Amino acid sequence: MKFSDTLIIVTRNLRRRKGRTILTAIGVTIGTAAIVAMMSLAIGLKENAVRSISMFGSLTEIEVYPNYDMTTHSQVNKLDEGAAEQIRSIPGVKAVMPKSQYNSGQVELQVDRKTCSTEVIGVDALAGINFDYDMAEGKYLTGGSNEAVIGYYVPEMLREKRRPRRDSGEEQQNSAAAPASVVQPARLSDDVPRTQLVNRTVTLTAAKTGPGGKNVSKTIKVKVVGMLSETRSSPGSSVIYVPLDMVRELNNWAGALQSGVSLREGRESYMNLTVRVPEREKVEYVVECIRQMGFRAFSPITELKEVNKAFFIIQMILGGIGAISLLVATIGIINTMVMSILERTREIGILKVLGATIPNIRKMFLIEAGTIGFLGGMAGLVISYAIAGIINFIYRSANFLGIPEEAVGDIAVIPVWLALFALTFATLVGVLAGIYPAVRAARLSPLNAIRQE
Amino acid sequence: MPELIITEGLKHSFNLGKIEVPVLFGIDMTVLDGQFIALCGTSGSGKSTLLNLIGGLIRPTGGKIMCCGSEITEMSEDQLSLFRREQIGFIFQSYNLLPDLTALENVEIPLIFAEVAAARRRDMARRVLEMVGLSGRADHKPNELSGGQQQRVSIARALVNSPRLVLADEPTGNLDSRTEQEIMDLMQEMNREKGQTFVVVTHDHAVAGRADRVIYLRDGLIDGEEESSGGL
Repeated sequence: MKFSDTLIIVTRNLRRRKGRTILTAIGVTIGTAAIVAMMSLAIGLKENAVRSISMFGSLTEIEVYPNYDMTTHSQVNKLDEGAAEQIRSIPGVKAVMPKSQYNSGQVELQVDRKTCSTEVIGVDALAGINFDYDMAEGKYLTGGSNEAVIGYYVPEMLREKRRPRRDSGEEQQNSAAAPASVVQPARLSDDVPRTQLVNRTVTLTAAKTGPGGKNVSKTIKVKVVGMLSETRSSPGSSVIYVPLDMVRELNNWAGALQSGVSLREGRESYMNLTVRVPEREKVEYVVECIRQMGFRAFSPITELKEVNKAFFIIQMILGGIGAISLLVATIGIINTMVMSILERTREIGILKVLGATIPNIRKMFLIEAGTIGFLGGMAGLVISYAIAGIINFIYRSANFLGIPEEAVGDIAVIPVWLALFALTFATLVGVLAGIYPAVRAARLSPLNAIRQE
Repeated sequence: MPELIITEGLKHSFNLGKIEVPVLFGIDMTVLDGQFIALCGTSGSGKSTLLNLIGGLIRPTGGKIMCCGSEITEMSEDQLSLFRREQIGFIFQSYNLLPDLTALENVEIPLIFAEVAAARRRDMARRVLEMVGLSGRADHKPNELSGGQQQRVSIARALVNSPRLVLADEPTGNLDSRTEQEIMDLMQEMNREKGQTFVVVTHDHAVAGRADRVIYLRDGLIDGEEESSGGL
C-alpha cells in the first residue's frame, strides 16, 4: 500500500468524524500552546536579559569597585595601585585599567561656540592597548599627556552656548550627584546633528566655588584623538576619557581649594578598575579572586550565569505544565482511537479480507493518530503565536521597566526551531498514542470483524 | 483440468470460551481449475466455514488445504493477506461494501493494497463496473443502490484484480428471485469468459442447480456430490 493512498484514506476517516477529530486534537492544541507560549516567554525573557547585560560591557571584562564603609564613606580596602598590582598577578588577567573620576563638580566641554557638561574619567592610557576598544572614529589614547577620547554621544549633546544662569551653583550641586546627565530619549534619534570632534582640540573647564564663595575655574585644552563606538557608550551621557594624570591634577586643584591636602602619586584610590580576562572560561575564577580580596567585582558573564539559572528553572516549570497537558492529550488520543476501532471493526475486517496486511492497517492507525497530533500541534502553534503577540504588545505598550524605546525587545520569542520542535513533538505524541490502538486494530481477525453486524 | 483446491482431512472447531464446538470433521475435496462449484447444505452444516478456510480467513484445527498452488495452512497472517490479495475474490451475502465510499472507490480497494497507480486503478475499476452493468452508478454510495446493484458492486470488487478463485457466501441470499437470476447469470458469464473458478455457498436449490458440480455437506462432512450438465 502506497503512503499517498494511506494518507488519502486517513484524511477521509478523519473528515468523516470531524467533530471528534477536532475535540481530540484540542487536547494536543492546549498542550502545545502551553509549552510553546511558555517556552517562548522563557526564551524571550532570557534574550532580553542577555541583551541588557551585553549593553553594559564586554564579556571578557570585569568591573571592580571598592566596598565603602557606611559610616566614614571611605573605601574599606583601598582600591589603589597596590590592589591593581595584586589583581594583575591573578592568572588569566591580561591587563588592569585603573579609572578615576574628577568628582568635585561638573566640567564643561567646549568647542567653538558649543558646550555641554561632561563627566571626566581618567584612564591609564598605556593599559588601553590591551582592551578591545571599538572606536567609532579615530584611535584610543596613545599616551600623550593632552589626549582625550570621547563617548559616542558627546557630539550630539553639544548646544550653542548661552549666558550662564544665576542659579548655576545649585545646578552644579545636582549634577555632581548624578554626573551622567540624562537627556530625553527623543533627542537620541538619528536626526540629531552631530558635531565633528575627533582630531579637534576642545576646552575642558572645571568650575568650583572656592574659599569665600568666589567662583574659580580651571581650564585645560585637550586634543580629541578618538570616539568610542555606540556599544561602548551609554545613551544620553557625555563622557570624556583623559589620562589619569589630568584627573589627578584636577582633583589636586579641587582638593587644595577645599582643604589644602594634595594627593601623592600612586597613593590615591581609584574609582574603579576594569580588568581584562581574554579567556571567558577564566572570568568567573578571577571574579572570585577579586571578591576574596575584599572588592566588589562584576562581570556580565557572572550575571549571565545567574540569569540562565533562574530562567532554566522557569523553563522547566512551564515546560512541565505543558508536558502534563500533552500527557492528558495522549490519553485522549488513545481513547478516541480505541473507540474508533470499535466503530470500524467491520471496515477493518473488510480491508483485511480484501488483502490488507497487518502493517497496512497498523500504518493507517498510526498515521491517523499522528495526523491528529499534527493538526493539534498546528492549531497550538497558531494560538501560541497569538499569545506571544499579545504578550509582546502589552509589554511594549506598558514598558514596565522604563527601558529606552529602541532597547525594548520582544519578551515572547518563538524561534523557528521551537515551532518545528513543537510540531514534531505534537505529531510524535499522536503517533505514540496511536501505537496501542494500531496494534489492536491490526490484530483483528478478518472474519470475526466481518461477522459483527 | 488441473486441481485448484485440494483439502485433506480438513477439520475445524470453534472455540467458544471453554467449549470446543467441532464444525468440520475431515473434509477431503478437490476442485478443478475453472469449475463452478456449489456448496450446499442446511445451516450449521459447515459450508460457510469450509469456504472461509479455503479463502484463508480462518485457520483449520486439522488437515491441509492446497489452494492455487500453495499450502495455505502453513502461511503467516500477512502471507495469507497477500495470498487473498493476489488469488482470491470474495463475495458476501451482506455485500460488505464500505458505506462512505462510492461504488467506484469500493471496487478500487483491492487495487490500493496491490499498489496499482491511481489512474490505472480508476480505469480498471470502471471497466469492471461496466462489465457488471453498473457504469452509470459508479459515483453512487452503497445506500443509494438497490440490493442487487450493491451485490454487483461487490462482485466487481471481487473480480477487479482478476483472481483465479472467487469465493461467494450466499451471494443471492438477500435478493429477490429475479435479481438472483441476474447475479447468477453474471457470475456464470465470468466463469465461462475468464475461466475463473467459482465456489458458491448456497442453500438455494435453484442456485445449486446451475453449478457444474454440487457438493453437499451435512454435519461437517461431505454428504455427496452431483455433477450437473452445467448451467442453463
